[in-house]
Amino acid sequence: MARFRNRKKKVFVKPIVKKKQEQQQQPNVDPITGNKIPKSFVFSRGKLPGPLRQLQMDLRKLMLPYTALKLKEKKRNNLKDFLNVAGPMGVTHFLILSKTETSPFLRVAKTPQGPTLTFKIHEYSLAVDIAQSQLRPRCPQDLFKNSPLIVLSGFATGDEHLKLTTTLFKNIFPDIDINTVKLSSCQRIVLLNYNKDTKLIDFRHYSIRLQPVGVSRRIRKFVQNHQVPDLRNLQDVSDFVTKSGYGSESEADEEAATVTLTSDLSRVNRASTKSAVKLQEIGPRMTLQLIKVEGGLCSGEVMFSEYGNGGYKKKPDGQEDSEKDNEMEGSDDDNEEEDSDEDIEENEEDDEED
Amino acid sequence: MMMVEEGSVPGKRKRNLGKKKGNKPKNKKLKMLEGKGKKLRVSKKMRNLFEKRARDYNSDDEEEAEEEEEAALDDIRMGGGGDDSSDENEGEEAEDDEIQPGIMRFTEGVRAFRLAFKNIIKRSVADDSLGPVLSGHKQLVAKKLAEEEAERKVKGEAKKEKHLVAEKGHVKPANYLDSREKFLIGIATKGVVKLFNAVNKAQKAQKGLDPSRSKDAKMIRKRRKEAFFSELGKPSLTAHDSSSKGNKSSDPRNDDGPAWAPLRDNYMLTNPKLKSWDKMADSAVADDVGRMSEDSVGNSVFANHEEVSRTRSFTSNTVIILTEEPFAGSSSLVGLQMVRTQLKAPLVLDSCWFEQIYQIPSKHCHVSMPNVALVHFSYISQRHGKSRARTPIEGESQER
Repeated sequence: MARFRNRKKKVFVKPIVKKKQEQQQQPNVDPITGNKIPKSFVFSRGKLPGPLRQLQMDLRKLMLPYTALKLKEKKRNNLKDFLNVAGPMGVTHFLILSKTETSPFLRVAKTPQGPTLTFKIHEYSLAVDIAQSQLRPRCPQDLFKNSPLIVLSGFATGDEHLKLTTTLFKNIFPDIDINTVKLSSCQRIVLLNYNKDTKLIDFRHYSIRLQPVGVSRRIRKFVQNHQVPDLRNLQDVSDFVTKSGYGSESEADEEAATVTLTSDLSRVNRASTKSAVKLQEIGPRMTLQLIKVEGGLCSGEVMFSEYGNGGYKKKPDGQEDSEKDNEMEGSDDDNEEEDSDEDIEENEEDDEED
Repeated sequence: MMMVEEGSVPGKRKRNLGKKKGNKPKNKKLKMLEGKGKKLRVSKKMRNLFEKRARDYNSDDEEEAEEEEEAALDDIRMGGGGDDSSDENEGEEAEDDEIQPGIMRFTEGVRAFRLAFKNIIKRSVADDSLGPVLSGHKQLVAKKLAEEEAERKVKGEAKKEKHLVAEKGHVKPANYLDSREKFLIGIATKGVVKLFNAVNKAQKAQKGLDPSRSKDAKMIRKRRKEAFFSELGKPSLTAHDSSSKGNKSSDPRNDDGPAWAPLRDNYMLTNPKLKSWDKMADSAVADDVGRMSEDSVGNSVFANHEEVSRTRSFTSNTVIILTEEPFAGSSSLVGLQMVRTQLKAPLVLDSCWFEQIYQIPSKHCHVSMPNVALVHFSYISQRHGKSRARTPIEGESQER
């Protein structure tokens, strides 16, 4: 043993890693727009099976950077505990996964007062599954450094609960100010597409990539990769530029998906060049169905119930919320009052569709 | 007698072998001792002692081995004699030919083993599903086995079911993009393109201008103001207000304040900024604002809140100035200050969007309101101040 010790003169010292202060220093208020930055907790109620736990992790990654990636929950933690923590930490949204015999559920709630939307997860695929299905999964390093954009489409039917869904999901991510936002920080996008016929919401998560248009793949790769290109099969250096190889056939039909940049985005995407917007899915993927809207945080009056005949006129039957009889009457009054001054016409989803 | 001699030969050989074997560990021991000796410094005397001990130890082994060998030889001799003499002779001959006495015994051993093996093989076994079972309780064994099998089956099924429940809804995506996914990607792409174009358009205007320089900042503000006015001039303001901005991501300013209370972004939430309004000092902005107000006051229209809320359409050169009692007079310094500090960004104040706050110099001040606000109100709630009663302004406006 002594000899062994002598031979190893260098003793490995674990480098002292400075504790990251960023987590504590995350601002509550956006420095530019002055708006409050929404933050979120993603956690589960009850015990989740393996794939759902993975889904929870994926959702946390999706909600980055304003979420608790390593949120530890214990069996005895109840909703109140999370709520108590949420206040001081400035957490504004809860995403709660749960599981019953029939299917998994996702609840999206605003803290501390609600409302709460309950979604039934009809189908879901994890980020891992998505990556496995792709030939070249893409994950740049700073993909999760900025919060994603959100696109809501098909919600413009005028129903109250859909409007609520729109608002809630719009406000789940920080606002962007188009005067100051950097395009390089827009790396991801979350899409929620409402299907009118099936009443299902498709939840997708894509990464955004910009590619210069009209540049052959070979040259693009050359500029991107810093690598010496393979010139074995070429007669002359000029062939490298002139021989365009095979062009991407998808480029032609994506004329609509091009943007003209005003500022340099990266080495390949320069100002005043046209760039094509390419999306690649990063998962998770979910098919949701809005089942219930509650006024409070996982409690309170039921404003909408899929199975309860609209929720406003009748109280929901059979559901796990057989209480709140008195509150239903009160809410009816509220609704009438609110209907009178309800004249919201605009819906951005309209123009996204056409 | 030949046998004895032959026997003795292998015996000797064995002994030699044994000696060799004996030597080996001795050597090992010595080596080990040497290895240790470097550290422990064993004296020569001690070493001798160790060696002697080792030799004794090995010699003992040898003797034992010898005895065993002799016994084994006797056995073989006896067995060989009992079996067959001709075989023995053959063995002898073969042995003589090759002069390898060890092999003879080997063949003998094989023969015995072969006989035994043949015997076992020849025995007929009852045809049974279980195969040969030594136990007397064949039925019991069969029962147990069947039970085990059933148990395993049940367990497997339960596990499968549990797995199915856990995996419910979990779908592995296809390797290719089907039409639905393509459609979804198309929607998302459209959204991204729209946003990027809007951002580019907005940032092109302020390109080359440094917002930190006051001159440029003024320019930027002017341009934004122009954009704002041009938006005001649009015919159907309320319908296309936010779509023209092209900002599809969450932006509460563009949301017309929904009527339904829980729909509102600030539903039952107090703005944390409001708590520290008095701590933020902002004088530069007020200066700029004061200068800018000079030109815009000329064609402005004073309106109080009730009037404004009824108005729905504007012409391009109309500037609506909202007069709120909390702003007027010296008693409302609190409210004024608050608005001014939030001037950095257009502020959402109960679904009214204050684009600019103009400080009117006292000579222009006909009414007792030194400060007015230009309001962009695509929508004004009639339930004004109902949901947020905690902010100082609303507290006062409710009294009114």
